[in-house]
Amino acid sequence: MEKNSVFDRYVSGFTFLLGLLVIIYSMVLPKPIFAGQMGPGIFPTGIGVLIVIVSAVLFRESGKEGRTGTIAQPTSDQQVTTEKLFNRHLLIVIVALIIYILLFQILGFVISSMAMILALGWLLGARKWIPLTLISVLFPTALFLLFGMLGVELPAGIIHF
Amino acid sequence: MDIWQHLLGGFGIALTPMNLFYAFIGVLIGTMVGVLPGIGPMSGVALLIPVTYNLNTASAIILMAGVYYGAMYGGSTTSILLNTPGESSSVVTALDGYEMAKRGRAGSALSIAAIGSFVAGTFSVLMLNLLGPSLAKVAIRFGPPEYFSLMLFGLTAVAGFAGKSRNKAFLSLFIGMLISMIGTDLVSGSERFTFGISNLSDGIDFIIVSIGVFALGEVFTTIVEMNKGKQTRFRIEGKIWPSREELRRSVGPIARGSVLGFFIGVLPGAGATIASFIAYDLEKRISKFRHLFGKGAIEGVAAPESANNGAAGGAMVPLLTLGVPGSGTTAILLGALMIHGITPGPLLFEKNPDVAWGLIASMYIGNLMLLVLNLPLVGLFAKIIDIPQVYLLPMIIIISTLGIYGVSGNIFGLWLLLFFGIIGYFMKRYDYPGAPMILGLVLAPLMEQSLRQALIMSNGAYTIFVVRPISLVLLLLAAAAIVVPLLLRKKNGKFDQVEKDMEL
Amino acid sequence: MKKKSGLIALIGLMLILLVTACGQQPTKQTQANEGADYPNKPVKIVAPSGTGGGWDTTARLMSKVMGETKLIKVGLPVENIEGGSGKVFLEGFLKNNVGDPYTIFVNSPPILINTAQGFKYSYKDVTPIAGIISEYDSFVVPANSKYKTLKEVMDALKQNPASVKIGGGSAPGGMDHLAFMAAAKKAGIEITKINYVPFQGGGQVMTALLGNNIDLASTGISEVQGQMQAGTVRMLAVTSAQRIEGLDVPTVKEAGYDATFDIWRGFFGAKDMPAYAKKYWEDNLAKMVKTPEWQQVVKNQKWTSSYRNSEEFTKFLGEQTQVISNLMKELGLTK
Repeated sequence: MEKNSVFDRYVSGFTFLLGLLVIIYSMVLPKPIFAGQMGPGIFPTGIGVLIVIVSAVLFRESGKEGRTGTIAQPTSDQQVTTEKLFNRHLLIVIVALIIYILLFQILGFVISSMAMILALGWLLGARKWIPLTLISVLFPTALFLLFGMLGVELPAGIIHF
Repeated sequence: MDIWQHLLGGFGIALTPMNLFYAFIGVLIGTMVGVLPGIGPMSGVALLIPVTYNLNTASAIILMAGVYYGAMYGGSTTSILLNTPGESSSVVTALDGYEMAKRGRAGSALSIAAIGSFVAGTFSVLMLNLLGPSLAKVAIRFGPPEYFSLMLFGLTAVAGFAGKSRNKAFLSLFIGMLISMIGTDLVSGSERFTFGISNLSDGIDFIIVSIGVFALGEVFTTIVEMNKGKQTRFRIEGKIWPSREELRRSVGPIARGSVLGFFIGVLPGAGATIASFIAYDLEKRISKFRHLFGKGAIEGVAAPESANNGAAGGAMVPLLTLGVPGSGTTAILLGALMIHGITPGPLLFEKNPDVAWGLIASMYIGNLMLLVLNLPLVGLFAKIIDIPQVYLLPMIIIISTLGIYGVSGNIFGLWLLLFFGIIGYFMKRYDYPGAPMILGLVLAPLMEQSLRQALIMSNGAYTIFVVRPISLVLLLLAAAAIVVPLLLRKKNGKFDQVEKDMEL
Repeated sequence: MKKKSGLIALIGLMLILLVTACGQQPTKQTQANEGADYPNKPVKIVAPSGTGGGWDTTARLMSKVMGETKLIKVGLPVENIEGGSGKVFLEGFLKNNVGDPYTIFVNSPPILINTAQGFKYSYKDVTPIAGIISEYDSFVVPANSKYKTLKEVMDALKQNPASVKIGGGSAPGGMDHLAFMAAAKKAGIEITKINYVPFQGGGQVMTALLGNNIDLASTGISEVQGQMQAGTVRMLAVTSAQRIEGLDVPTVKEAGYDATFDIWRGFFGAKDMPAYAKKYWEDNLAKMVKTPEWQQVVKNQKWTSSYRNSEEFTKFLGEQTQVISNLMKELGLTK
């Protein structure tokens, strides 16, 4: 719970700065060339101001919360989460996703997706090879054919149907 | 001949075996397209156009309209089961729908979504049939000032989407609005917040944000929880179908959602997303069960699902009666009519009665088909969440990436998807609601655009928003939406306390 | 422990696949036997936009007619690569597909407008194959408008450039905007002072016009015809050089302002596209535009056939670049 409000502090601090940057950036956007126009910077400036204000309020709120702990009660789910923000599983999934995206256009949709399902399924604890293999083969193939029927060309990569 | 005779003629066309077949294929493909996130009704219909090249015009348009409302229908399925909204209009459905699924009530949520969609769909065709032309004449008076005021009113719906902290909802809303500023500014034609990256010059598609924040965010959260040895496999509890109590509670939301959705949908450019947000917010404001919203309230599924399907029907009004598109999807349908050699316009009913009335008749039939098609599927779909997470999670990831890549063909969207997935994980974990972000993302561009269009129209005079009566009424509504609850809370502090207790 | 090593092995496997795939890529593209059997596999037609727009429609209809008329026997799948009105596609295309005979793409004035706005590539970086059709803009007022001719509008604008609200389906610098400004410039109006209300696409403009929220719409002829037949709007002028068949509407030139605006569409190939591939497409497109199937398409879409072979097309693009960049310079829209 302590952590919860600390996170809110970081977020509100960050969005406060973001809001300021947005305001500055919007101010230097070009003035309108044409008659009667509101320039492209006015609306985003307004959004920037709103972000700054709400961030400031949130920052104060999170400070209070951190001290007294009465405003926001963490849900039971959150009480369990006491470890690091990114645990190893999540990091590996993200890395796997990055590799998947890189592979996507080169190897084609079907093969990269097969690899993805196998790798991720294994990571998550699937140890029954038969269903895992079946799903990893059938699911991407079915999607590939389905999209093909709809006229969407997915990257075929190194295999050709 | 009066409209009933025309309609009868329309049924004569729509009920031929061939056209029944095409309506069925249309709603079937539509349901599929709706279930696949990323391919919304718009790209679904666009993709089908080449398939219809060789059909006769009435069959082609019946097929494509089937895809349209089939996709609107199917959009709720992944929202409810996988927290993966396929279109912006089913984002709201995910809030309570997914919560219901988690509590073993997926079947009930899916059935109510199907029933609500059917009622709203049928209601809107009936209205189109009875009031179409006169409504369209009113709707077309809606100009930029009115849209601005409507969007402002739409923004007040954010109140319905706040979790424990109102400020977090506001921050989420404003960040969504900020994201929508990225890209080419329509009014000046110049780029903003793109930093010279061509990939950003079209802006960031809301579908990337919503799939990232909702679907991937949920996947990441589940993975972290699984790592802690928590078993998050859901089980269907009790019977699949909605209980009598659930049905009874859904009647009001479905009725209000249908009406609201239809009338918002008639306004060219307002659309299903706004309708779904406003309908949800309305229900939350007036429901006896408001404390259950966000925790699996059936009203939170019934209202937005009826509203977005009502809006889909409403959007057909300006298309058929005036020949102007009421939404992105109807703009595509308009293009499809042209490919078939039909000039869309106010004379459509006179010059091509077979197409116009055949289409309307097929919409009655199609809606019925969707209900018949979808209710039996509920049992099957509801079993999807019975698939062990170890298989389901990778599949969700693949469907999500495919949904983003499939239609745009651009790998950049996948990087953004990953980025918003990580953002969504943190938002979920620290109780920042995602729906306001989508609301801001959808509304802000329309709002800014109509603000600036209105100011060009008025040579810079802000009075344009109050001298036009419809705009004024909408502004007052927006003010009331903000002020009235504040007053009520002051007066009725006791109720608020009760509410708070129930939340804990 | 065992679990982790299995995982690392799998990720390692994916990495190996990645590396080998990168290594394989070039071999796939080398062509034997200088195009004698071209095309021996499907040719990709890219619409550098989402589905449903003008580029997409043109590409899909071309692919359809080529198949139906059996002019081209291999498949012609259409692929949508969206982003930055074609900029995203071109960046990738010029990086990865130089000399590729198996991809062609459709484009229109935005390829010139992007360049005028400072985009680093132009039509000169790719191979213009042929121009096939043109659409023209029209200037339209509601049926009950006090303006009966384009001259009356221009005269009113000369008096007071803010007196007529002009709407168009594009941002300033887009086609509908440029089309009207080209005419207004010839009328001697201070074009930066005109109240131009931009909308997203022709449908929205027509809605605004019918709701009397704007006074005049500048939008594609195809958007207007249904309304004209119903008598809800009046078309004052079209931006073509000659009158459009079947439309009793003067050209801007006839109305007294020496301006035209041509929204052409054509196909392009890769930079250094092999000559045999270019010739193949040029010839087949020339044959296609003469088929009755294609002429029906043109008629339904309210397009105008305007075939230009590669040489004419390239010359035309050079002239259009001048026209567009001059106009945009005057409007202060160039970089």
